[in-house]
Amino acid sequence: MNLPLPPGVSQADFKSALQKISEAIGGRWVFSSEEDVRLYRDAYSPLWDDKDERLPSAAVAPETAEQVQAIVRIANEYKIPLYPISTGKNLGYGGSAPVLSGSLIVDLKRLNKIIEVDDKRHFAIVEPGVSYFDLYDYIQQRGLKVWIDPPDPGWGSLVGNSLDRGCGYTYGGYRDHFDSHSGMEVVLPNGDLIRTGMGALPGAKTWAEFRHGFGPSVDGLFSQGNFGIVTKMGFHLMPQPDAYMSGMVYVPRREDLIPLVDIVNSMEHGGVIGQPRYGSPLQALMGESEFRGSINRRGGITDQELNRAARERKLASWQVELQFYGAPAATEANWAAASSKIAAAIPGARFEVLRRYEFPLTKEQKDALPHKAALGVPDLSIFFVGARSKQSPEPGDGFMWFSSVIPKSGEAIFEAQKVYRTAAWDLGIEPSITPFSTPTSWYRTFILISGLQISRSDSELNQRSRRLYETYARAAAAAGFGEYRAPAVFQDVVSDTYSFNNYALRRFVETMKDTVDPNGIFAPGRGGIWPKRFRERKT
Amino acid sequence: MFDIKVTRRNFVLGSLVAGSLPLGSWAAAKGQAQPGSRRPPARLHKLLVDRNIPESVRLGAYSSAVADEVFVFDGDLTQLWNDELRSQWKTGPRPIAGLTAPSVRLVLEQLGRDHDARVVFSAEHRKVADGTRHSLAGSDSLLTSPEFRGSADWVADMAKYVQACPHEPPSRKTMLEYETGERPGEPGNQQRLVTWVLAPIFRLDGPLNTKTMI
Repeated sequence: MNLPLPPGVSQADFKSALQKISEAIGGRWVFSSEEDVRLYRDAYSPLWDDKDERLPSAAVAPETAEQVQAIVRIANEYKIPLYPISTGKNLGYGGSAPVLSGSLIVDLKRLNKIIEVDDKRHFAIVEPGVSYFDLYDYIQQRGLKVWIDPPDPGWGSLVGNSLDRGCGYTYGGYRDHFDSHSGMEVVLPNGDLIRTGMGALPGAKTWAEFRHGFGPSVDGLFSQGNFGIVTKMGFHLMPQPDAYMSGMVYVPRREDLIPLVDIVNSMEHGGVIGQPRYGSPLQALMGESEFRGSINRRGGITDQELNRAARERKLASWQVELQFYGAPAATEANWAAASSKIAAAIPGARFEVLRRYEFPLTKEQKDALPHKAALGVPDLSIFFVGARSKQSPEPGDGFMWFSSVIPKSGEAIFEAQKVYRTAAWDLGIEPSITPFSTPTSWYRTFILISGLQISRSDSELNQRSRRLYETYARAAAAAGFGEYRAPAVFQDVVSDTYSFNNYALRRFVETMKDTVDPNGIFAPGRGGIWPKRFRERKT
Repeated sequence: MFDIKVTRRNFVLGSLVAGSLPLGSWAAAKGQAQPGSRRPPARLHKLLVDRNIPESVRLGAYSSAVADEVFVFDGDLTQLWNDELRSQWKTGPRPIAGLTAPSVRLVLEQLGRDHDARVVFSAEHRKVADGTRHSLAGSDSLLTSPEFRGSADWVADMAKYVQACPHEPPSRKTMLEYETGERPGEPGNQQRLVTWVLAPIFRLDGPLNTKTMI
């Protein structure tokens, strides 16, 4: 594997730039051997070993914001594109690989200080190399009464996941990781260092609590963007609740999903429950080849037939797990109220208590948790559960995630199923979205996630998955469902769907990009935003 | 489930089994440097055994010859990461190995990037018509030596490779592919598996080594 050079940079200049960077941060932290650099490939790349695979030229790992500034100044001098990563663990959305091949990875793993955690006012300020595991350890070791909201898996960075607009599994707005941030410290493309929100006030005492500060808010430019390298960030944390309980609701008929979602929405938006987890017991039947064949033939089967299948198998059509956090009596009362409300609206609904906990948990309780992230405990189990099954006998080497934002209604779930199944049929591919697929609740919207398989040895499978991804993106946009996050390879495809008024938003952001980053050195192409010199080359 | 009466922390059967194996020149080579290696192979800190994978359990039987400890698990690394590696790796990783599902190697390789640990030997095992195809990547000195192959059970060969693998990135890396037949009475695992060794790398502080630059 040959490593690419940064576009437009000679080998001699690149060597000279790396030498200067090694003088600024220490040669030990400049990685230019193939063995080192290839660790920054996207482990789930849909272009694995393809000539178009996005590869970095080298990687550097600074330890301080000052060292980041030094790297930025050198990159400006040589016009070397930089691609910052916090820990680079967002597999399925691009991992640590750059959007533009030849970019120099700025690996922020050594900026790993936890600046402050407050369990009375419930916030933390951390550097980008701090992982969910790190902050969790810090909190547990000190017995602090706050929770983090880890994504799945929890090996990534709070800063990185937030900037990529990742989500978690606990309660309300804490699950939207960018929404729960408060204040940033950022190195700009000219090497300047700024702080946003209240952080801009020297000596501010509410940096990680009041995110707005005064004047225009610019924080969004650094999220899925290429305007700065974030070196510190504040986060709101959830107070540790006294107790947790969860219960499962089962409803018998396919059409029951519509009133079920409406009622659950009112509970979630009213702060009564945490994340509702929808599913269908009928999904398990997709492991039976005859059933799967009848479902996945073009056109599928009717709602009446699906209801009959559920009746005959004595299975519910849908289920939703409701999660309650708070005082023990409050969780019990809220479960009773929820059950009563749903039972009144949906004949035949059944209810089952699943789990009850009081906090803090013992180690044995934590180890046995079926879904640790819902209780603020980071883990890695997502890599190892259901890796091989009847439905997926050869699970491949990973997935890329197609994640579209859909309205929070039962009708929208049915429509989205139809849109993505039709898109797959049109390509002659068996749909992975089934009539039983359910979305993830992202507080105010749903996200319907589909994992598209990738392989390190089967380039045809990768080609098929890439074609499906592009088809999904266009079909989603035509239906009014936007993709919220995308692997590097597809960021242009997704950006192209946000086309209101002849791409006015993108043109506005490009204008800012050309002003703020005239050499176009910060993450060219990230979020679909290309600096002038690469934009012109692209066209 | 292939329970061979192990706990997560102790693996006593391995020492009994390995003691009766015809190790031949492999055992004699134990502790000796491989040609071209700068450092003699040391014992592994830990051998990972997935109790759900028969081949992994068979490799576990060689544990006393290759590793100080055995970690028996059910395919999910979370507990090993939480209880041991996470704190241990802060002061520097130690060499570990296993014969596992590919996801285990992938996760450790990704975590290893942040702690200066690398996969220094890897062998992918894929079921073919009447046997198993093995695709190996590792140091030239290890893979060009014929003494590690030819056992009745390919897992025994993997034990030899794991035991002799230098715990440092290969100065010259090579690839090797070969097939082995089915063991009588055992159809072979349909699942793709991988044998791997993950070891710390040692860097010298100081100016950039320009020899490694592109």
